[in-house]
Amino acid sequence: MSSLMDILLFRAGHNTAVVLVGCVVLGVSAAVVGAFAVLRKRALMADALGHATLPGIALGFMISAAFNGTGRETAALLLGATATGVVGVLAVQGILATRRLREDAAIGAVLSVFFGVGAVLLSRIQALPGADAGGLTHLILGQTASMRSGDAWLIAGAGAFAVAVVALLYKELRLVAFDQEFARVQGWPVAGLDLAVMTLVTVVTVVGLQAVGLILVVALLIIPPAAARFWTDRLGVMLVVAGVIGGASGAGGAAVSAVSRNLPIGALIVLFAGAIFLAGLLAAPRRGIVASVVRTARLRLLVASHHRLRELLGGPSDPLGAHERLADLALRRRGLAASTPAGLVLTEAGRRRALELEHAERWWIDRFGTTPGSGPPPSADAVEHILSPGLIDRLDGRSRGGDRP
Amino acid sequence: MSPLLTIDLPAVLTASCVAATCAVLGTFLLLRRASLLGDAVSHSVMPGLVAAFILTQSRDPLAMFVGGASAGLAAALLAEVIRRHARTDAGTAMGVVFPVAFAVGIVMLRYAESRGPVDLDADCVLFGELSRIIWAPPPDAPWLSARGLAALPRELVVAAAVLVVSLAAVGLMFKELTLASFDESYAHAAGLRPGWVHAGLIALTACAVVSAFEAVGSILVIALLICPPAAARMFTDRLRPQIAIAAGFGVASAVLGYILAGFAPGAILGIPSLSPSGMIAACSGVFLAGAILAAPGHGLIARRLRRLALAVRIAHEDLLATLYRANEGGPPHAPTPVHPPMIRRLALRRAGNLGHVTTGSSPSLTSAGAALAGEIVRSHRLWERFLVDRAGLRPDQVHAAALDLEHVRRGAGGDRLVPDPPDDLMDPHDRPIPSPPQNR
Repeated sequence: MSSLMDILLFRAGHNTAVVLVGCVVLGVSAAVVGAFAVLRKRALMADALGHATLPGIALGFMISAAFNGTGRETAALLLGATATGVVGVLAVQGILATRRLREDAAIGAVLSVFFGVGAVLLSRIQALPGADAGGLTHLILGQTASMRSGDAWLIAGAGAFAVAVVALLYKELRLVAFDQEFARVQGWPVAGLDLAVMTLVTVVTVVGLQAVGLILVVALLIIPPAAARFWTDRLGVMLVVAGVIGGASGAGGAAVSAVSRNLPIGALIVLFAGAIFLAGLLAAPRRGIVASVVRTARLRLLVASHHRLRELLGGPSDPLGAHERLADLALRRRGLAASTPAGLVLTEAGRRRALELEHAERWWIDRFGTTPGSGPPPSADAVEHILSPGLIDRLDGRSRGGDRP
Repeated sequence: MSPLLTIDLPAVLTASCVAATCAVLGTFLLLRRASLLGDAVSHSVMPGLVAAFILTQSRDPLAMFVGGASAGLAAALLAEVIRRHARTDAGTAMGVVFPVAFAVGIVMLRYAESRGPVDLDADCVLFGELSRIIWAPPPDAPWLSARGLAALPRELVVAAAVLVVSLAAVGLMFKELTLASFDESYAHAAGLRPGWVHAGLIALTACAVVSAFEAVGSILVIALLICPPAAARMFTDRLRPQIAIAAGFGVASAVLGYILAGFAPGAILGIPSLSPSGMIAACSGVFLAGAILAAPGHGLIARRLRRLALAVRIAHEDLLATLYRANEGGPPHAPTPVHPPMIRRLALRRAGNLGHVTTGSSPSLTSAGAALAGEIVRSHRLWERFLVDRAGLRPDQVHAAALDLEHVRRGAGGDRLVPDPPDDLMDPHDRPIPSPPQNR
């Protein structure tokens, strides 16, 4: 058995190499195309499309079986898949035309009903004498053991085509993705560009069926762009990152499934992509969960240490009463307070900072007032933490500039 | 032993229970625009089912139930976390979660298979196995005796129990569910904790999906969650009737689908029976398509007809006004209203039927027609007066706009445009404004 390294370095035989190339190209192209679908919030349309290919696959099988008996011509299956996939997308549009049912219901209805029709047709095929329906169930869950070099070439060609179209239409697609109204006003054919994206989604979905199966193919379109979104706010960078994530997932899935033949490649590719997404969700610098927890904790500590400063200056004790020891530690580390035998006392810098805070609070109360007898507004306590002396000066300066609101 | 009672009855009953449960819960999901949550949950129960199977080494319904429902809930929770942190739309968040959960399920299934024969396969999870549901009491026990009932298939018992629990929960929480579904902010302000209501709905949905998977499979259950409520939505604007109609569509899909898959192929086409779960989903889709097309009021056909009727009424009024102006003489008015030939013919027939014009080669106004035409032209010229006096348009700009607006005459619309118009008021083109109808 070949090792993972051998497989990834193309040293594990021709067929394994073919599958690997096919999966990488598929991963990259699906990610690039899917990015625009995700940005246009059309991501789940691909799910309806994927499930809607099942009746077409079954019909393609039945038709080609009627002509030459085996019914496993890839072309017939994929043509059928494309046909009913497109019908499925049109059905979604038709349901939306009622304006009474929303997109979520339309997509869910189409995907489940088309899948049901496909199941009926499959049950008919399984009862056909002499028909070998084994190849069909592979298209549901995905299986590359049956992938031949012709299939890989098809995937590579279609993937390259999709990426090339995106590169050609990059400027227009970007405009539509971010500001549809502006694009329309500027005279760009928004509907045509949406159609182009849906066509590319269809192409990628159909060629992707063989590798990952029709249930999971939507994951290739959604997960890499969604994962890339954690790391960047720029579309160009996002496309590259998404492509890399998609390609890496494809390579990882292909390699692991080549090592252990029993595990289905589609599921493995999706798991790789899911793991990369999870890493971003946890660890991305600004949007990750860890970063956001740290940010929240920092803010809490800042608030607590401000309260402690005021308390050391002789103000009321911390209304929250939390994080006192951490706050003391932070004040000492920043040189705002020092330990003495009599306890914590403010340094000169600490005194200054505490007075600034007090000033900020008083400024706010002066500005935005109190209702008589009810004390300072609760906002005063919250706002002192972000009202720096510089900000107060600027606000004062502006309000002196003119009386008009 | 009757095969109808042994095989078909429990299967149909189970499918019907599942369909009714899904219709009730799906109605609320639909109203919350969370229909795809059912989709996500049903894809995600797979790893839970497989985990329960691996742990217990059996298809014990209770273990499967706990495993599947908790996996579905966990996936819904994860999707919510992703939606908040990744700042994506809910669709993308679900699109990330459910394929991954499904993939985990498949890999776990293959792992279980590699350790020994497994009585659970992907096909069964995807398509369900209604044919496994069999009611076979011991030969000497009557069907309705204690021993006969004890032999009821566990799938049916579970499906019925979930139906009862769902109905009870929805009945008890009806007010809260309704409020949270229609106006989440108000529910929040009223102290109702809509988040918890939503979570409860998801939990019930997860239970329904798990109980359904034996019957119709994890993907086709989506059809039962979405199609019947969506079809019912086409018929009514009220919640209670919608739930009832949805449940009716669901049960009808289950029964009809089972009959079409099980009996019709053999009886009519002479081929073996087809996948009942697929046929149930297809039936629910046919009902939905029928509702979208033919529902009174909101259906596409009804809407098309209403628009046609409006077009004919407008063409009818334009015809009368044109005849009135021709009788008036004077210079031609441009532009003149344009209607497709078919609409014109229908309008002419309508005018004839209502006695507004004389039938013949060149129609002319009857006295009833002249009265109505006077009203229309009055409305037209009052609008022109308004557009010039109040809206500040030039007299040469207002005729085309008034051609559209003249048809808006409901109430005293025309007379409120120009308060207390003098009898000799002229329009901006110095044509007389016909006096109002006498009988007002």
